[in-house]
Amino acid sequence: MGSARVVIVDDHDLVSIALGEMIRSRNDLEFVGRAHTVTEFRSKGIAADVAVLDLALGDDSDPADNVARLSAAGLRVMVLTSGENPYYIRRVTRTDAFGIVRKSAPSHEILDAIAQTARGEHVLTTEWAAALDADDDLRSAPLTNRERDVLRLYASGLGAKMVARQLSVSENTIDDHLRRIRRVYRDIDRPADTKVELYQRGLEDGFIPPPAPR
Amino acid sequence: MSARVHSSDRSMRVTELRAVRFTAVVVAAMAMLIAATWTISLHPGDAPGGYRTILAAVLAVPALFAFASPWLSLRTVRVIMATLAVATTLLAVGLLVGAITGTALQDRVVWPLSITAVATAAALIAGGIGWALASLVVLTVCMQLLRLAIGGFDFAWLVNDGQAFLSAGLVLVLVGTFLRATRDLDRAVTQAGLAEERRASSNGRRAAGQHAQALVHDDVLATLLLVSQSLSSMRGAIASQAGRVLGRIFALERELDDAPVRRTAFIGRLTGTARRIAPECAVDVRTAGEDPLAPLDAPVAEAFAGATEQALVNSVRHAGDASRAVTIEADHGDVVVTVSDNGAGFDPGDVPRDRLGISTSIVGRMRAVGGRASVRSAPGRGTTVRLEWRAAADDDVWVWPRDDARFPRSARLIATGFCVFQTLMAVLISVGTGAVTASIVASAIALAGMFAGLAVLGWRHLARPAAGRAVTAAVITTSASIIATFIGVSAHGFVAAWALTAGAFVLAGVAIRGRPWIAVAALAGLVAAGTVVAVSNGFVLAETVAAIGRPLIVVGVAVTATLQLRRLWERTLRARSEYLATLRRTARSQASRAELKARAEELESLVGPTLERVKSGEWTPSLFSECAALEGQLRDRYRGGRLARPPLIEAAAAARRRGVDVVLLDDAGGREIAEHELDAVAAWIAGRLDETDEGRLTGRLLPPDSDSLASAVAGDGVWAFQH
Repeated sequence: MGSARVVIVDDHDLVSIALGEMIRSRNDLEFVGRAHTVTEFRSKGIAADVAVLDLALGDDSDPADNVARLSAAGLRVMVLTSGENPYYIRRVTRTDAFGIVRKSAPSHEILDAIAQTARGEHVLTTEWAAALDADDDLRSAPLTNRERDVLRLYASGLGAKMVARQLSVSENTIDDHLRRIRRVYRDIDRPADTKVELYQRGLEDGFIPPPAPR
Repeated sequence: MSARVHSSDRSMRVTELRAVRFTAVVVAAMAMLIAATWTISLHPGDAPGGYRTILAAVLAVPALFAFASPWLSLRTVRVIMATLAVATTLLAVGLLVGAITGTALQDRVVWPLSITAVATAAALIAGGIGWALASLVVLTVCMQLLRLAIGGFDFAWLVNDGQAFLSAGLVLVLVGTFLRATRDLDRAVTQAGLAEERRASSNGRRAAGQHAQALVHDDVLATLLLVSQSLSSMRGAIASQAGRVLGRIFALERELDDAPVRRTAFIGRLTGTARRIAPECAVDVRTAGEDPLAPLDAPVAEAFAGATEQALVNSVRHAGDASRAVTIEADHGDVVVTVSDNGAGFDPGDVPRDRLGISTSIVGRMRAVGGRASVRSAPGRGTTVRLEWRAAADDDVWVWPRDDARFPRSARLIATGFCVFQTLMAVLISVGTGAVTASIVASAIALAGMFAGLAVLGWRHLARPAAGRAVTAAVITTSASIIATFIGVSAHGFVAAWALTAGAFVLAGVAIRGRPWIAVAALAGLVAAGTVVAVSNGFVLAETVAAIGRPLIVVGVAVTATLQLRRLWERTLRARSEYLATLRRTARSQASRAELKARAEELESLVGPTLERVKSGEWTPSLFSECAALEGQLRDRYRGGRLARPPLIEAAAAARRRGVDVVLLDDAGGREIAEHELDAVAAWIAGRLDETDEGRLTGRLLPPDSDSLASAVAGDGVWAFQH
């Protein structure tokens, strides 16, 4: 199997370049190009398998939208975040993105996540789990207590091995739980109003940033 | 120099000031008129030498000063009016004393009574209704005593005095209500202003905060991360970026461009956007009026631009082949932009909210500037996105007089008192002077006309009567009064003119209820009749003035008060929207600027020195860990929420410098946690951090449904926070 072609969509040139350099250091990944926006990427006509997408592109585009467009173009998307407010992260968790990774994570973690995405595996990170764990819509979802425990542990920062050990089960069992969680999450029937009250929702979900500490 | 709104002149006292000045001038005019009348009518033999001079001085001098009211401050006007009121009262007392001590005065003391209204109005302006009432009582008592001292009891005079008392009472109520109404107007505007200011300030602060936050996340975090993560070959480029970021921080205060956008420019931008995204789209621009429309605040224009663009992009994406249209309606207060297409449409009830494509950028943007956005769509029926924004909150417009509950009560009091008094007077004057047929008939007619007029007008509520009804009431009352006067003059002389004043009261009611010009027309009839009666019966000038002047004053004040108040109200409403708009702009840009300045200073002190070192290109080993620590700290303030507090901030920074990867998460949104508990959690996590030298530690405030408040997770374990 050849190396996966990776394109980076980020409005900061230096960030794309730096990340590109990191990707070049891996055998299973190939850096094929970068763009500032999804539109620019499409117009450049770069052929790629994986897209690393910055959550906040600075052009007021909707992150979920961006993921959808990249997925529609046949790429597997991995999202990078600087530590955005949970609302944006949650929007991405409801998309087809394979994972959400912190930009400030150690380089090997970021690269491993890209490789996992290339293989079609979902990347499990604290950010992703925390976003789900704090999502009110999940309260009434048909998840078992065990599944909620799994999610809570991941959300609190534990890694895969530790979660399995903590709950005294095998990692395979954990994977099954995660798959089910993902499926339930995707299928949740979210109440939709005829009037789109997204702003209200955004308030609840943390769209409005907390006041700056003094 | 920008117009700053100081806290001291936040109240808009314009209306009250205008009203007081206007009223003062009217009072002055009345005083001058009366002074002139006395001076002319008094024969040299009537009064001691200096008397005329004293009279003139007492009334004329303050009156002259009062004519300068339009250029004087509220306080000065009040002082002048107080002088007039006090002087008049003293004059009355002086007359009384003089009469008692025998300084000769004829019984022709008609005139002091006519000034009761003047004095009362002056006292009202100076000190309010309380003082006005006091002066009314004092003057009335003085006059009665004076009358007793001079010539003994006389029913006719009692009637005359009664009329004077009632006139004064009516004037008091009218002017008092008028002034109170203006004060309420001012107060309502001030309240609206304060509310608008608060809202604009917080909008400005939020916009600035978001802007600063964006800067942090966009550029500052990226730069700091690059230092720790990049190859040395990129050092130069990163150093340049650091320089650029520093420049942006220093210039942050000026970054928010708040210049208002002219509507033409606004419309041009929207049409340009439409043409760019959907060239085939029909654009329909509708503006009201030819006047240049008030410019839009920059954030509002931005919100519209962004939301419209997004709506068009959505339409093109989901309903590509459909025909679409953009309608822009802009008039004095409101802007409405509609983006519609006749594409496939969708059922908003079917689709999960976040898949609708009506992203937060549409609704959120409009809400953030105080507008709204709504979408209507149905399968097969196309889609319409409607964006609207109104210039001011119209729901706090104060409506007068319908909502003024006090007026009916005092008006009813006066009206009842008036009816009772007039009846009493009519009876007294007929009976007391010998029950002459003429006087009984005259009284009966006058009363009948009065009651009939009131009945036709109706006195239950203050709604505006139909023109026909008002005319009927006026005609009935006026003719009855005139007839009664003509009949009664043979029995009582000029006192029979009380009927004219009785009619005038009803006409005043007509004017107040909203038909001023009908009242004026009827008044002309009264005045004409009064003049005829006076001339054909040889009234002295003073008597004529009393007979005609009182109706004139009563109706005059009523009409003027009604008309003036209406004018002032309209003018105030106009001034109010401009005032509010200016206030909003000023408050918003002040708040934005202040917030940006504060954020910039904070950023400068926090990341300035480090960025300078990055910019310099001389990177020491400690710089890497320093950048990692700073990046983490900035990230914590956002994502860490309530966890970002003193013991934990330092512990996290120190741990990061040691190479530990620290992640702080506030996921307890909506959960109320007391300050002391948060401090305990922070201290607890800080303690864990101090024991960690490598790897990662994640501290998290747990969602509301957890047993514990917080968790701390490191490579070798999970800890739950215990109290």
